[in-house]
Amino acid sequence: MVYHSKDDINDRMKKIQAGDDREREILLEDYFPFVVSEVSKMTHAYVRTDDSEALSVGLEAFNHALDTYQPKQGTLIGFAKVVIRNRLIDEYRKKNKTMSVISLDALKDLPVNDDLERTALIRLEIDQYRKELKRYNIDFDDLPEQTPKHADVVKRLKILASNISADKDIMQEMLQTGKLPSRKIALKMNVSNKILRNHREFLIALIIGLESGGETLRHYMESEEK
Amino acid sequence: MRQAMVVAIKKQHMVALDREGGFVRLRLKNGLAEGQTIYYDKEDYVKTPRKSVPLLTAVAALLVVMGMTLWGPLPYSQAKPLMLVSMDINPSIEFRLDDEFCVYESSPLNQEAKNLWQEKWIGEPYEDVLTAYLEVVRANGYIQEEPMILFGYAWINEKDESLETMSYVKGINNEVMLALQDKAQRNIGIEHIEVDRSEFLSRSDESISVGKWGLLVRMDALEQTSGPIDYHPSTDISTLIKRYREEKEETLAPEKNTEIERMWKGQSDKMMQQQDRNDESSKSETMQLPDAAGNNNRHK
Repeated sequence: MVYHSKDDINDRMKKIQAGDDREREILLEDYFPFVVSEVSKMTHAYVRTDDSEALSVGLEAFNHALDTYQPKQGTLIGFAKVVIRNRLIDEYRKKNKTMSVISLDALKDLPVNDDLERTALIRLEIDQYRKELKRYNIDFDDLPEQTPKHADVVKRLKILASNISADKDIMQEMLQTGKLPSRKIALKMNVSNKILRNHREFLIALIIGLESGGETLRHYMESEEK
Repeated sequence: MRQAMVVAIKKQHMVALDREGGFVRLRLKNGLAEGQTIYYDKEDYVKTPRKSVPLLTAVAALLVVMGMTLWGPLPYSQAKPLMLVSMDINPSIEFRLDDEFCVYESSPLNQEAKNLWQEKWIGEPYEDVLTAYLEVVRANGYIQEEPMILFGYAWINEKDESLETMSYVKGINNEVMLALQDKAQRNIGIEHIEVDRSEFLSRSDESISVGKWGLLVRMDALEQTSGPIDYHPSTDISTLIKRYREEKEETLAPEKNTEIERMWKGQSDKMMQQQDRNDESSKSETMQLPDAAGNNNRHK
């Protein structure tokens, strides 16, 4: 999120309210994390990236706030918070009311079949991934501590995992023995033993994700660089 | 604001796979399900839960500590010995590496090295030990002007010999040296000497590092020298390396190579004799050239 001085925001608001759509788009983009955060706080739920009705309501409310905001009403953020909150409460009431009158209509709010199928597939992928990791005595709960703190190290390990998963010889040994063939990897990939030892579990998780994970998992673990 | 996919929901928190490829532990919220892709913020992070230590584990740990106090530390691992790497600057030292490339034994070969070596490095990865040791070497003023460093390599077991492993260890040495060069802001010359089994076993003096031993054997073998090398333990390594390089260069000089090529091509005896005569005359010219110190000491 880009923070601006009050004067800067007021200038931008003047442009937007005068009909500058380009500036509106940029500001909506800048304040997207703010809207997500507010919606999450109000609903006590994480905002889903793929399908969140609440997020749409929040964004609509924020957009509306841009039209009605006046500097004398305080800061834009404070004003937008109230607008988003009120709009979400309205939507919630509206929905509850509708649901009590025609309960069958509520089914329309359920994800369409495509989404259900997709979610089921992702769950299968995760389940398979969990089982594979168990072979190496790794539990999902161990992995946050094993994830390197620096983004650069994660990036390098992703490249390494990608190279390892492309090496048939190493993969065969790893899948057969259930162990990371550190020495072979160190020699072939020219990587220090220390890195392999320190990030063993995380590296295995990446390799297994790339090797036997489905499309979604691979998408998260694939390195952009090769 | 970041994105992540929920992969596990636990009683107190959930684990999600971040868009960057890392795993994060986040707090629970309404309507969570595995496979969902969500937006999250720094506020959602959950700190590492403290795991309680089972009573049996605690008792076992206590017994180990008591045992170590009474009978001393447990012997270091079941690592398999792999190779010996020596390093000579002026401090002369040898490291024995296991197949995990960790230092399982070290022999400081002269007093300078004995003063610098620290026992705590045993069991640590070779790369770390070399870096730490060289840092101490530098801090003690042994990296001056344009130093030369000699690395020697010998296999502990013949069956472990492999080009890949050798180039890997050499790679570590080169990398550490480059880092040192940057830090010390000096040009550092490196010479790598691989010592074969027979050379290694023929080492008569254990206080000479394998690298230095290999260097002396090679210098002796280069036919330019007559008789044994006037080696003294205090001979500094830069001088030795320079001499070795000079000898090697002269032995492999272009005219010598041409001579070998002609022999293989079956040139006539007459031509070969003529060539020999030419060589003899050029040798005598070279012999008259004194070295930098003004001594003609190549043929004593």
